[in-house]
Amino acid sequence: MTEPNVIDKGALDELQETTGGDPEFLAELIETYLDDAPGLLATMRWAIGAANAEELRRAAHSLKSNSASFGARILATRCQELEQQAKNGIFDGASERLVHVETAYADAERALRALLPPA
Amino acid sequence: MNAVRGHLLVVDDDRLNRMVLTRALREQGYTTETAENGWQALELLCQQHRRGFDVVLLDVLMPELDGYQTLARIKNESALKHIPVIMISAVDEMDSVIRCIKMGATDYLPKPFNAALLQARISASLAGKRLRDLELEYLEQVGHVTAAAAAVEAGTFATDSLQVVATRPDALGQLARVFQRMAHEVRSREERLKREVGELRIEINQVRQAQRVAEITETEYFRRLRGQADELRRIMEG
Repeated sequence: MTEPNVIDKGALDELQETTGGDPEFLAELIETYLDDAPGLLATMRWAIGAANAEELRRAAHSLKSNSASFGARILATRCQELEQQAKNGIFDGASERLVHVETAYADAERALRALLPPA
Repeated sequence: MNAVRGHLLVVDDDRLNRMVLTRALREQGYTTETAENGWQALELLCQQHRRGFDVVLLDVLMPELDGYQTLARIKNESALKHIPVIMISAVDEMDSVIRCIKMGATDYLPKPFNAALLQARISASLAGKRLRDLELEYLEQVGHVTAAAAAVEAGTFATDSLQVVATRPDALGQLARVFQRMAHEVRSREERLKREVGELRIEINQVRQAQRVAEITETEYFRRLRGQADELRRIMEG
C-alpha cells in the first residue's frame, strides 16, 4: 500500500502500462529512481551554495520530471518551485525550498520502497 | 512480438527517462539507440555506415549541448534535416516547445510519458518521414528517366539503367517501361538502317567496279590489244 497523497497510484499504473506492464521492470525503475535522487538532491544543495542557477535548475528539473513519472506529485511540485526559482536566477529562500523538497522526497522514498518486493 | 516499425534515437541525459522510453518503444515494436547528450546524438546521427534513424526523441534540458543547440545542428545539416525530431518536455514547458517547433521540431512529447500519445506522435512523424522518403525516391527516379533521355540522344543508353524505375507500379514506372521499349525500337531500327546502308554500299561498289571494267574494255586501245592477242594465239596454234 502507498501512503495516501504521496504517490498517485494512477500515475504509477500508467508508467507500468507504458513500459509493457512488467512489475519487475517497474521495480527496476523505482530502484533506479531511488539510486539517482540522492545525487540530484546533493547537486541542488551544492548549486544553492555555489549560486549556480543552471545546475540547480537542471537537477530540480530532473527530480521533478522523474517524481512526476512515479506519481510523487507533491515532490514534483516542490521541485518545480525550486526549478522556477533557479530559472529566474533567484536564490533567496532557495535553501528553505530545498528542505521542503527533501521532506517530500523522504515521504516519496518511503512510499516507493514499500512497493518493492522484499530483498 | 511486433515487426520492427522504425529505428529511433532517444537523446536524454536522464537515465530513468532513457530506460522508460526505450522500454516503451520496444513494446511498441520500435528499435532504439540512446545518447546521453547532444554531442553523442550528433555523432550517432552522422555515422553513415549505421542504420539510419527514422525519428529522434530529443530532451530540451541537457548539459553541454542542450536540446535547442542539438536541434539547430540537426536542422542545419543537409543529410539530417529531414529526420523528424520530437522534443521531450515537461507539461509546464510550453515556451520551450513552441521555440523548438519554430526551429523545425516536428512535435513534442510531454513527460510523464503516455503509451497511446507516444505511439500516436511517433506514428505521425514516421508517416511524414516515409512520405518524404517516397518523394525523394520519386524525384531521384525521375532523374534516371531524364538521364536516360539524354543518353538515348548521345547514343549511350543502356536499357538496364531504367530497370529499377520500370518495376514501379505507377505512372513513372509505365513511362520507364514505354521509354525502354521505344529506346529498344529506335536502336533496332538504327541497326537495321546501318545494315541496309552497308549492303547498299556494297552494291554501289560492285556497280562502280563493273563500270570501270566496261570503261577499260570498251576503249580502242583495249580492242587493239585484244586483236593482237588473238593474232598471237592463231600464230602459236598454227
